[in-house]
Amino acid sequence: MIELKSINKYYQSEAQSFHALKHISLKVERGESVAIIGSSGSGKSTMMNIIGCLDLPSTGEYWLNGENVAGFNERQLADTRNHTIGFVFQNFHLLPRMNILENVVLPLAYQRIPTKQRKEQAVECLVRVGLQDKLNMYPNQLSGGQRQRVAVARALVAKPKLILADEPTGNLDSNTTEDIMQLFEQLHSEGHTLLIITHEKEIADRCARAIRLQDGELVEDRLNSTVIPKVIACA
Amino acid sequence: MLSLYEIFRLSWLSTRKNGMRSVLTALGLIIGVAAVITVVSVMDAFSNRITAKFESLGNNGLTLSAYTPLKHQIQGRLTALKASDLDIIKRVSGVRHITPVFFPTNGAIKSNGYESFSQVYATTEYYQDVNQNYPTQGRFINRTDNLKRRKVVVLGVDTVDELKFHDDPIGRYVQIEDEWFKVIGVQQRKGKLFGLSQDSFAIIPYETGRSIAGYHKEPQFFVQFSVADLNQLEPIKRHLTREIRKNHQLSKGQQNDFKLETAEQMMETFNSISEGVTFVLIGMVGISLVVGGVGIMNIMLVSVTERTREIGIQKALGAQPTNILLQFLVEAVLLSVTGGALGVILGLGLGQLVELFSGIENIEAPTWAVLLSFVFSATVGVVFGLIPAAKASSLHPIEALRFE
Repeated sequence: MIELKSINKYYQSEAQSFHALKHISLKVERGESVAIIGSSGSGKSTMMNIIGCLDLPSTGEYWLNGENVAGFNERQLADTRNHTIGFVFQNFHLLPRMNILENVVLPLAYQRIPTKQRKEQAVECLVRVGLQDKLNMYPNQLSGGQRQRVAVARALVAKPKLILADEPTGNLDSNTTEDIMQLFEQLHSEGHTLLIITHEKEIADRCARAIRLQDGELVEDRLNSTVIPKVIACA
Repeated sequence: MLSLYEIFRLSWLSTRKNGMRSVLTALGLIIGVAAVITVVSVMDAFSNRITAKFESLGNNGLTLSAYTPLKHQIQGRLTALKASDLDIIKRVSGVRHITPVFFPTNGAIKSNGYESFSQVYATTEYYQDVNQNYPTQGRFINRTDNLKRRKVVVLGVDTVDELKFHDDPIGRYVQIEDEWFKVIGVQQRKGKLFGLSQDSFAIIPYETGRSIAGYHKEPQFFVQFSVADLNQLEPIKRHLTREIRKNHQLSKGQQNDFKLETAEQMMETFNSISEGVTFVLIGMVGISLVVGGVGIMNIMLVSVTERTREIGIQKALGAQPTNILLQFLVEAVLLSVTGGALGVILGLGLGQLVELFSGIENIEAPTWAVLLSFVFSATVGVVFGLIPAAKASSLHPIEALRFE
């Protein structure tokens, strides 16, 4: 599913260059739930950007779903983000001018799918996260937890192969954090591949696998015995 | 790919959300387009009227008048027609209704203590046929009036009004150059041309005119005549030009010292002037539209900056650069076309207002002007929306997402 081969990422500033990721190699199989942990500045955001096809590595290969993304152009990257990856962000990142349904439809709007089918798929995903009665509300009318559910529904709507969550509970209180984590666990148990970036140990412990980054290097890769890894063999 | 409807919806949402700002942004365009529509429709109505006027002159009418080039005018060398020119025209076959006209005096017409500064024409009985203008009361001057140098006058309706006759003006007396003239007729109303009355005149017999002008030499007259067959107009013009050149003893290569014009030519002259005026005005207004476009570009750039994060989100969700480009471009065009539409409405309203106060009738915006306004507004939107839209579409998703 995901394979990083000796990824390096440099940031070039005026005076010096910053080595953000150092020779990262990593393999994630379909159906896994992986937490990427690390303190701020450890390179986990950079890694998430690369895995999320928002940025390209400076050197190395990134194989996603059988294709080397490292050589993609902007159009192909946008296409991959649209079809293969579902994003959940810390700040929800919903569009304030659109209602809930329109927000969830948006990823499908960039595909050639009939309008009616888009709507059906979006409603289905909103039912899935329990927000079927909020279709016509606007993001600012919802609580943080509800907003994040909308974001999850939006991440699911295009039936992506990978769900990429960047600090999904970072802006939530403990109750709604529990809500969202249960939702993620459900998704995992249904066979979705999850990649959660977090700095909270409790979140990481609820994933089957945890990877720790420190100063741009991969320093730990462990399986959580308490969480049963759910690897689907056939890709 | 976002459907066009969705793009429109998105653009409409953001235009509406910033209602006041959108209106102010489009104001330049609104005023520009309103100005175009008003100017064009007023000019159009104006020139329609003039055309109708010239048509009523009869398009088989010709005018022969002396022509002095500006250079000679400055030198004080004025040319004049000769009395024999009139005989030349009379001898040409196919010509009918010839009448010489001159202005015997610039003095006032007086009656009963009232004055009118109407133009006095000295002419013959054929004047009414050449100009297709006949008396509604009384009669026109006739051959005998002319031969006998009778002191009779035919007045225009506005002159009649100015002199304030309390009852029927026929048979009353008016004073022109200290001579008393008997009113024998009132001509039918012609209306206004260039906002000036065409019914403020007094017509006296040609010979009577010469007598009150004091017979000093030959008067500065011009000749109005019409041709029987319109198809013969050009040959007659050529023939006459040749004959009159001969009569004026102009050598080869020398410029004509006279002008032979048809009503149609005068109309063309007028039309070319009015077109010129229209284009100059449109040009000036065009500049204001460009200024309006810059306003739109400015606000679109602000809008792109404001929505940087949204653009980042859309890109993260898989929006192609073209999606973003189109979205902002449509927004700019929506803004400019809405402005254009408001401008058209405003322009139509202003046209009606002009109609109300100026007395020019039937002010209507021509379809081409309305279409042109829309096309131009849309073009302004595309042209000035392109830079902000390109800026939006080229944003890097990560940087856009991080934007605070």
